[in-house]
Amino acid sequence: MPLVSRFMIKSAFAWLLLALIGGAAIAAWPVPGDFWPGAAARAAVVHLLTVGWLTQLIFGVAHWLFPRYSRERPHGAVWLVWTAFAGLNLGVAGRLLGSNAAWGEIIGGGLQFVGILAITAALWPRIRLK
Amino acid sequence: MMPRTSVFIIRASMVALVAGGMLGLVAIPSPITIPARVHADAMLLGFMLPFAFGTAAWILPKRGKVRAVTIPAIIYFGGLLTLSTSYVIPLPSIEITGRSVLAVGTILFAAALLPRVRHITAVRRHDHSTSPN
Repeated sequence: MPLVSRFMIKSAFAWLLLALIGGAAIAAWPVPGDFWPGAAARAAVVHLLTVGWLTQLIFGVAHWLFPRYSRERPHGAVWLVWTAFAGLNLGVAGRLLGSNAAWGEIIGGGLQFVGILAITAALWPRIRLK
Repeated sequence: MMPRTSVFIIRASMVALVAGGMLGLVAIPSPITIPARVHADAMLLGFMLPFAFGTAAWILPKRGKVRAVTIPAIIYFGGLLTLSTSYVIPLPSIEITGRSVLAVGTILFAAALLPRVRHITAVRRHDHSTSPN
């Protein structure tokens, strides 16, 4: 399994754990406080689950299993996958840490989108018949 | 080798991923213009489900009778297009039709793929029973 896939899958499990803790925290303190407003906290936890956990797990496994790019470079442009790893993780972290501020949503969302573009560019040539 | 239908399904799901990400980014400053559910539908129904179906159709054991997933894929993406239309033309009937067609496509995908989910011994037994010796 490539190194970046291992990093992505292990990070995905870390985000899953944080999402479950975050979900429990929202359930325990349903009345929002100054530090963590209710709706924004819920949105951040949803992104931990869907981006941090699901999307990252999907792409970690896809980068490992998808048809090889070429005999010389079986995993294609690996730097793009590292960019996606950085974008997705920093993006989710930004959304979580800045969930009570507009900058958190904008920077976090922007970084996640960079991650999406990078992983699409990395995997697209490997989605083929042979 | 990745089947042609899987190539189409996975590539379409990647397009939905980029579109959904862009919608999410635009929805941050203007949540009224683009509601969160449009972003959520693009990500969950446009990206995650078809990506999983396309990969499963490619990677699940293929021994024995394999049902094609072309028709489920056509129905599923037809439902997705109908649902997308309901965001432009906000009529409940279009949204209900889109979501219903998506459900039918999902059931057909499951019907095609579930028989291929089996233990390795069942796959080997099938290989033995069909081998010439």
